[in-house]
Amino acid sequence: MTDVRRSLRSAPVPDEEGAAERAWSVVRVAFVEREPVSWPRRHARLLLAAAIVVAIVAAAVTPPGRAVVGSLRDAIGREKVVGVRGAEPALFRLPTGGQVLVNSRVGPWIVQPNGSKRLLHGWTAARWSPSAKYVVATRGHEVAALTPRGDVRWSLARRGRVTGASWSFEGFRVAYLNGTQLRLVIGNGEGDHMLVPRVRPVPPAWRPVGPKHVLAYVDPIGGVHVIDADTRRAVGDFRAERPQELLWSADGAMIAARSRGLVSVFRPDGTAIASISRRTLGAPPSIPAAAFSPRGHTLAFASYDARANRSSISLVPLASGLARRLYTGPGHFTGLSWSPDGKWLLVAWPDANQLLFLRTRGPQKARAVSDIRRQFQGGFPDLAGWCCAAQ
Amino acid sequence: MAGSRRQERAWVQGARAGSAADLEALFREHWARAYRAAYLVVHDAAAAEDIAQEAFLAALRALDRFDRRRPFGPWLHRIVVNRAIDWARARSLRGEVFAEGLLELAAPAVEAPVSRSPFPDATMAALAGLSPEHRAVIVLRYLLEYTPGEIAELLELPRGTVNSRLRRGLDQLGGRLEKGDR
Repeated sequence: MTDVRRSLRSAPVPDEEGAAERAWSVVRVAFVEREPVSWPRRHARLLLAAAIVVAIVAAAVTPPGRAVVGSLRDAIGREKVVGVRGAEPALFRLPTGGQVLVNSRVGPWIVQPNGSKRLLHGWTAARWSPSAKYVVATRGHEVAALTPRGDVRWSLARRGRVTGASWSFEGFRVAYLNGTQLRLVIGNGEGDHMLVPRVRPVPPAWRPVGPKHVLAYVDPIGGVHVIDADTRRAVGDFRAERPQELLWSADGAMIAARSRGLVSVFRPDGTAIASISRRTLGAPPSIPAAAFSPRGHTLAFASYDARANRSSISLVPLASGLARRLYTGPGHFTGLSWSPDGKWLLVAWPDANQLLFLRTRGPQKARAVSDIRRQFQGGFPDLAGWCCAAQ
Repeated sequence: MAGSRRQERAWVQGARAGSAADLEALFREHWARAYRAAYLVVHDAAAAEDIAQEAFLAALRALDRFDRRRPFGPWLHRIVVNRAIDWARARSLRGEVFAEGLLELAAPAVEAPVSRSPFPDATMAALAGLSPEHRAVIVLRYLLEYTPGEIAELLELPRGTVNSRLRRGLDQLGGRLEKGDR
């Protein structure tokens, strides 16, 4: 037995100190952000017992007895997602340069570094052009190029519903979904034509570097195809598990397909590189958002543990494969955007009604902005990109 | 022992009152054994880290309801070991085999963390051959030093089941060690 004891105590456990530091940073943040439990709530059971006696007596002798029962319900309380305590009450400024684009219920908003924001009224969704000089916006049957002030440079109407528009790396092509078709239009609004007759409703993704206009899309049965959009020649293809989003690394050397519980990373020719799946106690696994860093091959992703009702943001440099957990909080994180300089991650946290800015390097830092639904006029907005220096 | 129990109570009380220093003292006191226990049951460092971390977060969420007259360790170990057993069972059901870390690398072009046998020691290698349930009782008994009665309470099992798992676990360990010696 002594041998067993000795072996169990002396067995090497990988990276014991590193694991402790990582875990402590998560626990500490959770501790700082936890909702302080007031004395009445901490002693709810005791209060409950006393109040029940009072209520029974009071209800027997006086009509306001029912009010006491109501107050008991309040004393017990319910769990709610509080988010970061001490969050800024409004989006006063971005922590670094660039402009943030979000799509809200009333339309796309562009947020400037000083926090001022402009609604592109009348449009449903928008995405940045490569240098943020324009956005490509959609609504109903229409796709259009707009200036960030909302001036329409060109627009195009199509019979089917138009969604998922995106601009190529230098702005000379726009791809969009029109019903089940994938279509292409030149960056000045001319030469609109069908590229692929039937695709899955997943926004097409342009390779962010040239010289060729390389585009990735998902076919109706879930295969991912990478093609030269000008010649329609295949560059590569691969299968992924029901992709919901396609993401390119900034240098165009990798493409990732994000599914509900998996991110699969490939080379453009279809060679598999890596896959990320959440292998913890959370079941079923869920990866609701992912984004490549603007430089290098670091992938940020959000994961959700349904059993604990908690989400995490992690960074994985693909060269090392070692994930670093950046932040953990209750409820769901639904979107991620890197700042143009790669120093910050913007996280959508609808359960807390907050936007979260997480520093990706150096000491851990989280800046939160609360009351997001009101600021974007109803409904929590979707993140559509944090692009480039302010023009 | 009584002194350390008093100290632990003070940390719990301090943490409940909002002292991060007391929470950290509690964390530092218990992390190493919790992480080691999880690792010895699941044999996966990333999973063990997650399990131990989630156990601390669960403990943190329930801190205000915790009866501070009772020791913190068994409360935490109950969460750790039960989650570790669940995780190991789920993995055996999925039939997964994977390297450490979250990333599964499919191509040699990108550097992968090297998967090595984590247990050079013969006893440890033999432990790896046991079922998660047997590993758990061995870890609770010989690493965390709980009595069979306490283990039965922690795992919500009849005491006889704990005793038989301990006996079988040790027999299997002995058998595997003998085979390894040959």
